[in-house]
Amino acid sequence: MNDTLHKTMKDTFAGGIDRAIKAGASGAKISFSQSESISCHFSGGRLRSTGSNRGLGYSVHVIIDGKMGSVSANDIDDFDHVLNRAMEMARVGSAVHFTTYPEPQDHVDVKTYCPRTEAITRQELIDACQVINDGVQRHSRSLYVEAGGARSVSQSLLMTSGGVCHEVKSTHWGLFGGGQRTEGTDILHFGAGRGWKQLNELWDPEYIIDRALHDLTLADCIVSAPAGELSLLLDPGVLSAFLSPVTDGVNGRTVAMGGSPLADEIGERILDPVFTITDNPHRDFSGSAASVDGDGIPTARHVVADGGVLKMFLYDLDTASMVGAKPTGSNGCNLHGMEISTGKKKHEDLLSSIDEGLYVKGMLGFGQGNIASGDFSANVSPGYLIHGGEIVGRVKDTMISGNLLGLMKQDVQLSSDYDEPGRIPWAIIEGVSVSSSAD
Amino acid sequence: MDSSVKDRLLQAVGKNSVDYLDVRYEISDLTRIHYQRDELEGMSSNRSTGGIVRACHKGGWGQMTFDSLSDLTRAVEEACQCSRMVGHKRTKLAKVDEIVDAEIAATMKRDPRGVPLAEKAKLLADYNAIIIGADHIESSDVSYMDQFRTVYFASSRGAYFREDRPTCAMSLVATARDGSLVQRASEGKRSKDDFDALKGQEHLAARAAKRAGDLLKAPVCPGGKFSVVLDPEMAGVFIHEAFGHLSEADHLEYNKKLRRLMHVGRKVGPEILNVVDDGAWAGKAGTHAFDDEGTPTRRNYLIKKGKLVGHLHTLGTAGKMKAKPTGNARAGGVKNAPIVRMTNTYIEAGSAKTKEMFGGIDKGIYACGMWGGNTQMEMFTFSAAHGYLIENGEVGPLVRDVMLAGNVFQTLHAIDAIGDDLTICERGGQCGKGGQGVLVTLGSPHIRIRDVVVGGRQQRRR
Repeated sequence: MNDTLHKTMKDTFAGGIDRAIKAGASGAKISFSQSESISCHFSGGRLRSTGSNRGLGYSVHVIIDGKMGSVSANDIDDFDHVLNRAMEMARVGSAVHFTTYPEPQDHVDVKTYCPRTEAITRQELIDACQVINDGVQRHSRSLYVEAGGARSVSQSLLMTSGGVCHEVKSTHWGLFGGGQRTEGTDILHFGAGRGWKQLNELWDPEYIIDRALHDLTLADCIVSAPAGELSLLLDPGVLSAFLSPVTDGVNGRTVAMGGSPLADEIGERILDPVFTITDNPHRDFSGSAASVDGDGIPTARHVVADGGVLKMFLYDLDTASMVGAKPTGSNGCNLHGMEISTGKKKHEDLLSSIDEGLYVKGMLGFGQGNIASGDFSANVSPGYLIHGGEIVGRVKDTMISGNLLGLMKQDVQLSSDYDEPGRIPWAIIEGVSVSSSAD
Repeated sequence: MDSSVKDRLLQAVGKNSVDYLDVRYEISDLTRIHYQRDELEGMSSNRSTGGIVRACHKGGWGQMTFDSLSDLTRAVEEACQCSRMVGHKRTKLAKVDEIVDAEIAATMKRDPRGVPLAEKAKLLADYNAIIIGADHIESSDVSYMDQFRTVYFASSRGAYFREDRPTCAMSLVATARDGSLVQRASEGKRSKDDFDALKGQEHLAARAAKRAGDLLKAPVCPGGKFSVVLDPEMAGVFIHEAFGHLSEADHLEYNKKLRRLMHVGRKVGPEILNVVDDGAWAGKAGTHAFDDEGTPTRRNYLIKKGKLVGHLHTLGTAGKMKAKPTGNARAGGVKNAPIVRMTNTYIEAGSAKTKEMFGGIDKGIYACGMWGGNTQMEMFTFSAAHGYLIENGEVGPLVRDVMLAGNVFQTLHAIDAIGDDLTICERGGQCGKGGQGVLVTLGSPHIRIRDVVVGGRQQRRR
């Protein structure tokens, strides 16, 4: 966005907020964002497409007599109409529990923009994906290989009637590679990917090749999983999913609306003492990096659970006003980015310690069930059988089930290492019910 | 306005130096209303305009999105430039029988755009009151949306269409709670042409509330391998997830081994099994006159008498696989490129009577309604909204957390009865793929399958 357009837009939005207030609104907010991205995609061993995505969007929120009207659009020339529509809607709109937006407050400046990321060219993106494509394909000509990448840059602006005028410029890159191996009617998916806002050592096509091929090698032999209750080694992504009753349950809105099983658990032990869960929006260049939330409230680092004990719920401005709590700078009362404490052994050593169990790398169908109270059932995919501390093959048509809140409350071990740039360890949990086609 | 849009699109695609070029431009108006427990939680509207230009040159694709038609010329230039950067072989796009030139205006019984917001909110408030007034109900999620999309399309082959694509839908979710046990049940309703079709659905709200309460008392579904009977909604999810996605030719075009596995003529199920995808079925949510490449939609058999007889195609996949385009190129949003998608997919009616299908099952599961489904090609997982034990040929007690998994090729062969009660599920909902959501319907008669893996609690190993 050039400087003149930038100033014109800020003036237009400021004028719109003034007009809403003069027309009887007690509060008004305008959010604007503009982004540009480039991407490329390889499939079947060749570059198939490349393209660009450009776009802008804005939303107008107006509060009149305790009700909110929210209208969004992407045509700046239509701004007056959008503002009028938001004011019209506020007369029948949803109830809000605050009347004005707060004044600007001190906040931590979290880094989200990297000029080197913005400078990544389409050709550099294609070259990196070509390396990934060739590296994976070298393993076997019979593999169906896919690779892709993207780079984006965006600018956003938040203005409120409280005087907040917060601008953010942000960049991001992402690379992935993987594919399918088909043998008879067995189709194996494999792959790995990485992304970050800053262009640094994480941009590493060779890492993606190694991870993708590692999964493929582990999956060479198909074995049957025994049915019954087994120990599970969880990949960081799976551990994150397993904690969803907690991460969803600390949502202050869900608590206020009666949907959280943790509503009465503040100060109680809800997880194994090895767990300390922190919400950290202040990690520079992470996907969740943010200085303020969508209402202009400063974000903060929050310890949600400490030593397994539930410490707090998260609140946005409206929910905090509704229940008489202090807003925590949390958009939609959700965590920005979860970080979990580590244990004493590396994940390889955790694996070696399992006599008989499963290594769950991913799941198919997790979250489809009624997991609000922690009950779950999911197909392990990919998953591997561990016997005598070693992976002996891949399992198929194997369902795991149980109650997540119960399973995570005792006998959990966390690894001492992370799969960077994530801050979630591997974990062992005990006594998970396993059903398989071998039953 | 329309003639101006038509001229601008045809002009933009007319002069170019690539093998193929198309542009899709869309205007979308969306309204959403959401109640949770006793609160009107959200009311919002959105108007978005924009589109995507796609160019294909020597087999390589370039694409560029835009917000405003004033950016169209630049978008065309950049898309062409990108395609020339990629393409080094031969462009293989299927030919179509006729070049389309049409404008399809929506015919509405009661257009949601003309219904006052207060009336929409009142309708939802009434359903919400039924749910939160029921026994054991802790909370509710009652939501409404209406969307009116006008899609314009033009291609360098001279094709042009404008099609209105309206829809309105509501979802009614009841949450029951007993201590830390929380159970949910949902119902929904959708219409393409009539806001009033969402009225008079109090029974759906009451049904969702009752079932959520009943599930609090239901035990978890036992795990293991069972004979299962799927109700029409669940069987519809099964065929959509397990076989429909595998029939989408973009999974096959560059994957030789998968193409061999999914070759036309392969025996994939019993003689009694017929599966159809029909994008031209009047009034259904997945129906359009044309797909997003200008190909007229049509009825396509995927399985006939147990044999695989066809795949679903875009121009690109059909060209590559020497097939006819099937009208299944669909884009989920204003700026999405079309990919192969299902429309209205179902299993045709058989001859079995539903009641007789439970006979002969000593211990099994009757899986009903849908929570959702996922697939990784041959491997599928799908979850029922609720289920019942089948004991000695009779439907027994209610169970919760019913999830089924398996290999599609083995499971299709294990179907041994198909009912005569074909039912199409008309509730709201979308199918997601590649980050894009599109409206679909699915359906089936009751079907019976032997030896399905069911997720659930096992006995402790010693």
